[in-house]
Amino acid sequence: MKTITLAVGLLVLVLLCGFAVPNDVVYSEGEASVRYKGGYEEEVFIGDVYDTGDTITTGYDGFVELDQEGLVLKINPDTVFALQEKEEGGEKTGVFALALGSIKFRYDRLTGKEPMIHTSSCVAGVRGTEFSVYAGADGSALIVVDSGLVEVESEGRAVQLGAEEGVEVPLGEPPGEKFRVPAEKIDYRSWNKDKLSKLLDDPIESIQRIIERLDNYISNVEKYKALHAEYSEKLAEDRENLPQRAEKEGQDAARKYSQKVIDPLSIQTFNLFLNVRYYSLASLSLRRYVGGRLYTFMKAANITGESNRDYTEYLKLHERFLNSFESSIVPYLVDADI
Amino acid sequence: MKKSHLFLLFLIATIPVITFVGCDLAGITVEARINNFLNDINSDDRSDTYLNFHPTETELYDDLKLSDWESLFPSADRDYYIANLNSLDSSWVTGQIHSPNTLEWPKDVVFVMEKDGFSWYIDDMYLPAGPVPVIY
Repeated sequence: MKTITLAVGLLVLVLLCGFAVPNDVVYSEGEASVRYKGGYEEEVFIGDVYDTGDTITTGYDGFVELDQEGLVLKINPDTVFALQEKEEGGEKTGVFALALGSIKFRYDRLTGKEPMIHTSSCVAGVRGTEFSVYAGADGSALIVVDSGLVEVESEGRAVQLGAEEGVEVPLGEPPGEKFRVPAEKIDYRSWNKDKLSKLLDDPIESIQRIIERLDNYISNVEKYKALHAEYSEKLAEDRENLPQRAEKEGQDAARKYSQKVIDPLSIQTFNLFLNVRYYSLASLSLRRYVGGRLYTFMKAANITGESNRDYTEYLKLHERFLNSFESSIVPYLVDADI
Repeated sequence: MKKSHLFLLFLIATIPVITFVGCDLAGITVEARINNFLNDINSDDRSDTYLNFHPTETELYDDLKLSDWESLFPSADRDYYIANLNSLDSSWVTGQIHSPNTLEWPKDVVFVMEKDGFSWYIDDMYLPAGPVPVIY
């Protein structure tokens, strides 16, 4: 009975869920490229339509405006932004993943099924109509609301932001104190410059935070892998018991059970694997845009090869980071991701 | 070398080329694509199944590369085949997938197809047929 209730619940959720809405490019200028989920890249053109799995990158002078049925996304210069998807309580949810840079979101209307916004340090639930999200070089995030309400969650703590409020979320920490947004608004470049110097001020602490965040993603990968295995086992068991059910309750009852319980469970099991991929792709983004950048700066700063205790310590931690990534994340990536 | 021998040699050399180019030009029809998909599902090695989906239109394309398809098509029920295929409208191809396991199957299925070059690919798959595609 419990199984039936669970499966009917899942079916309702599956039926209610939507799937990704295409994003049309309505404006583009400067340097902007898209990396399609197939792995190939091209310049962004007005009229292009992007879907889940595509990543948009803007250069120093790049700017892209996307339109998604009632939502306008303004992707500012020096930004890396991906359209992703995640399974959440039996439902597929769209995710806007901001690896670096800043985006302004403007909703014409809210449906209650708005995609989540994900940066390396936090997840934001959309209740507001106009707000900006900034992702810094050190993995921290800054969320600023112009109008409406946005909920920002990190490390188990949630903060609700109202109009003209902002909050900063350092990597691996809960959201900080809310602040009033200054009238002159936020200058992303100077904010990011500050984040970059913080990243380099204490590279040991920075890499430790990055490792902690990777560990968090890995634990999510493991969690969903285990859940996928558990659901697969339950599914196999239900399928195996189907002939006995037919013997006891008749063929029609077994077929009904199959439609009401097994079919939704098979879809749910299939979808759970999407979350393993979701956290693997988040880890890849962390490695590429936060960990990778720190490594490049450290390498450049220590180019003379002189012995330096901090640098040696940093390299050890960086190697640990890479090893964890290789062993726990790479098996869930495909060539096109890299 | 005699002229007739040379001609024979030329003929032997061109047959594989003509066959290859010919197949490519003919492309893969909607029906053949769906049968290819089920053939891949029925094989021991399912790692090429994703190739039946459209590489850019199918959003889950990269995820499908890592899927074992077991939750949707259990290996124990293999010998899947399609019946009542209606491909008059390539944007809504309907049919019924059958299997020797008659308790769980047949299931109504809908394929949304996409043409790329000369060949058709699966874009979305609704299984069982319903309002939301399981693969899109």
